Amino acid sequence: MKIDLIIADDHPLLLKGLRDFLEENNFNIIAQANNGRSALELIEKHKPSIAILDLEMPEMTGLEVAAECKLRKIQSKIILLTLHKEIYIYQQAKTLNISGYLLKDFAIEELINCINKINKGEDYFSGKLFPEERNQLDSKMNEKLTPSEVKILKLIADGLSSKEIANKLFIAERTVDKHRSNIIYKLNLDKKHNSLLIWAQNNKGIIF
Amino acid sequence: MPTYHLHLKFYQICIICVILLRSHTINAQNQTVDSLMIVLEKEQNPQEKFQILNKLIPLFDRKYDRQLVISYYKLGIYFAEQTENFMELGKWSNELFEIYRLESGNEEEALVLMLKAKKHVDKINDTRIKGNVFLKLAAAYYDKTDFSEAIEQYSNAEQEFSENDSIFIADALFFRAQARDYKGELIGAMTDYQKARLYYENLHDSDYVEFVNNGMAVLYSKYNIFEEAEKIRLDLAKSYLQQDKTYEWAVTMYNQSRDYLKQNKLEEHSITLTKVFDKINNDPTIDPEIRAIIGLSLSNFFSQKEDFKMQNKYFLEAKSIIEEELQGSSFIKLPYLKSRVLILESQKEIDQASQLIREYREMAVSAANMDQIIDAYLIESRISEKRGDYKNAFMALSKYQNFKDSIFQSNQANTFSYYQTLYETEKKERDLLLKTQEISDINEKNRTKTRYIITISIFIMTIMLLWFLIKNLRDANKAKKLQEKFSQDLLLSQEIERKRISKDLHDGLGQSLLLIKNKVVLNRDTATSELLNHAIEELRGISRSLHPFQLEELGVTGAIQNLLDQIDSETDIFVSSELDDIDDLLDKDQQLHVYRIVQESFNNIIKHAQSSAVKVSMFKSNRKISLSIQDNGIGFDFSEKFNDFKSLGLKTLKERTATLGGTMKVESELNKGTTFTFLIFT
Repeated sequence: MKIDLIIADDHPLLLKGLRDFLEENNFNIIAQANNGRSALELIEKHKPSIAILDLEMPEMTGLEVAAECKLRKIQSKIILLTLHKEIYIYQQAKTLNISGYLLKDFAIEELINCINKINKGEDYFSGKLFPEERNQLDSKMNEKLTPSEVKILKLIADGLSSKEIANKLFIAERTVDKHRSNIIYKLNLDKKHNSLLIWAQNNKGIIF
Repeated sequence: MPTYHLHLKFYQICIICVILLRSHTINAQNQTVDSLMIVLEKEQNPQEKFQILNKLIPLFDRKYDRQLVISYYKLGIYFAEQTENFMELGKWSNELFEIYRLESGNEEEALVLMLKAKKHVDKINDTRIKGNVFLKLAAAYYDKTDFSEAIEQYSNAEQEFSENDSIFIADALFFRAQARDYKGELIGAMTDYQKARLYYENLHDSDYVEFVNNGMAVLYSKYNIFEEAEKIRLDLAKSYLQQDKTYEWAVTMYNQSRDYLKQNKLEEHSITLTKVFDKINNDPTIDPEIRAIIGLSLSNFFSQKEDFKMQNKYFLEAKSIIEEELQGSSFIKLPYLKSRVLILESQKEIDQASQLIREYREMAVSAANMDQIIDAYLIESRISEKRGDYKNAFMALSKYQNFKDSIFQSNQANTFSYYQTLYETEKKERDLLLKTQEISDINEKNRTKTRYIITISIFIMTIMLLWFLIKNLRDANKAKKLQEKFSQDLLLSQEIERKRISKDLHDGLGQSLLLIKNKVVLNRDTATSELLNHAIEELRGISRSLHPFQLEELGVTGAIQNLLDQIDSETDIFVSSELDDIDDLLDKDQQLHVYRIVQESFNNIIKHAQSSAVKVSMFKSNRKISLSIQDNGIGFDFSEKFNDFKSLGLKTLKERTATLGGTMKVESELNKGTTFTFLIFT
């Protein structure tokens, strides 16, 4: 079964390009809009399975349309296809009623994959949203370290105690300890005393 | 006439007083005097002789033979002149003069003595001796009845005395007044009396004040200025009575009674006389002359009233006093004679009376007493008429008339000039008073006007100053508001412009790049595609920093959180935060400002602070948001950086805070970090 789509972009050339690309790939475009408000009306009218919206459009933005859809309890999934690279959309996707988020510059590479995933009921967020990894830690880790955790790790490598770190970074000692245990978990280390310090000193080269 | 006699008597009292004041208490021992006299005989040197005399002369007193003393004084004066000791010459001359005056008949010698002293007066330094030389010289002339010279010398004396000799100046004035009185200079005499009285009053010499007053009274009545004379005399009499000076009181009252008679106030005349008579007649301590003259006056009064009994009674009282106590008194002789004439007239002993009145007239003429002469002619004419000797009566009457007229004329002239002077003086004084009054009125008016003007000026100036200050304040406020508005507008237009550029970049350039990239991807040109990816990424960065589109979607709290996350991940700075949701407290523009404040603070931190950690706290309380951004960097000197024009960052922060109606506080210490605290009131 073909997937029904509604697309919206205020930029006519891009809209046309997108339509052509999707039709080439056998998607059924029910309707298209060049502003937020008409996009919302079309979604409400056709209730497509997926609506691909530009973030920035006249009258209503893509996010506003998504929010309105949620408010009107429209089941259609929303994919944001935009030039804006806003990590917060990924972070708050649930609240914003966004199922997929693609950057226009990588649309051709990822769009088909994204539509298929969403159609299966999953979310899709482009990997291009996230900054490139800077080190080789990834391979050894259960999960990526957050920037804060990396900074704390560096201070641990310098031999600072939790208390000293807390003072230096204006945070509570407990917060430092929490970060510590998170790091230990992410690095797959023993829960032994000093194991993190020893690891940090040994891997100084990687951290810095 | 009695008046003049008393007048002279006062003068003598004055002189005696002066002597007492001047003379030293001499307690010389005879031996010393004798030995000095012997030494003086032997000594030849005039200088030495003078020295001895200088010791000797002060030793003389009354017990020495007068002629002896005089001869030594003369010797002393001679040697003083020889040895040019002029001060002693003056002093001894003055002393010798007083010795001469103790007895009459030496007037010529005294004058010669003082004239000689006067020759050397310029060489005397002591003002008192110098003045006294003139004073004595004047007295010598006075005694010789040369009043013109006396007046001149008294004037010299007045000039010579210094301020410390005011008693002598007073004397000089007093004596000159008497001299002028004799000369008939009414005004001059009156002026001198007044001046002298002022001096005596200042010296608290009440006796002399009274003498002067007496002199003035006499002067006034002489020129028929009776009101003034009466005024002075009544005061004097009262004062004498209080001091129990009965004799002086009686004399004053007697003189006043004479004035009453002259004015034909017979009742007052008789009452005054009776009053005196009752008080002194039975008091033998009182001078017999005054007692006698009062009796005679009363007798004369009753003769006029044709009460012959009373006339006779008073005459007999007086007669007994005269016969018992006043044998040889020249003073009472003429009045007594007059009363006798009147008694004889009353007793119709006309021939006898006629004889006596002729005698009286001759004596009066020889005494040159005008009043008595006139009196004599009047009575003579009356008696002659009674005798039937009409020719003689007519002659006497015409003589009487002549004298009376001449006196009347001269008196009238004097009196007239006195009143004229008085009038002029009063008029001048009144004019002066009037003018002074006018001047003070004008001054008062001027002062009021000036005060008025000053008050108004101050008022106007105050108002102008206030107006000026208020205007200044308003202008300053206006300028401040304008500037604030300007910077706000600037920030606003900057934001609008940024937003526009950001949008243009994004929608224009961004979409174009996108289309290009699509083409490239379709052509499978991976390398170019990668280059385009970088270009688009860069464009995104620029666009985002120009305008945070997320702000519109997330609200300021979310946008700030986002910003912090981004900084945390993109830099080495460890960012921790505690943020209250403040979205509903601020409108869109305000939210943008708060966001920009955080953004710019971090720009500063990243650029300058070399900080490894930043803590951001944002709390809201009732209508107040407090935002603090604390770093652990190198810190800075706020005032230094703020005044540095290039550091726009701080200025913009301040302006944004001001736009929000908030305050900014910066605490910074070198190498200890910086804390920015913003308080925003909503």
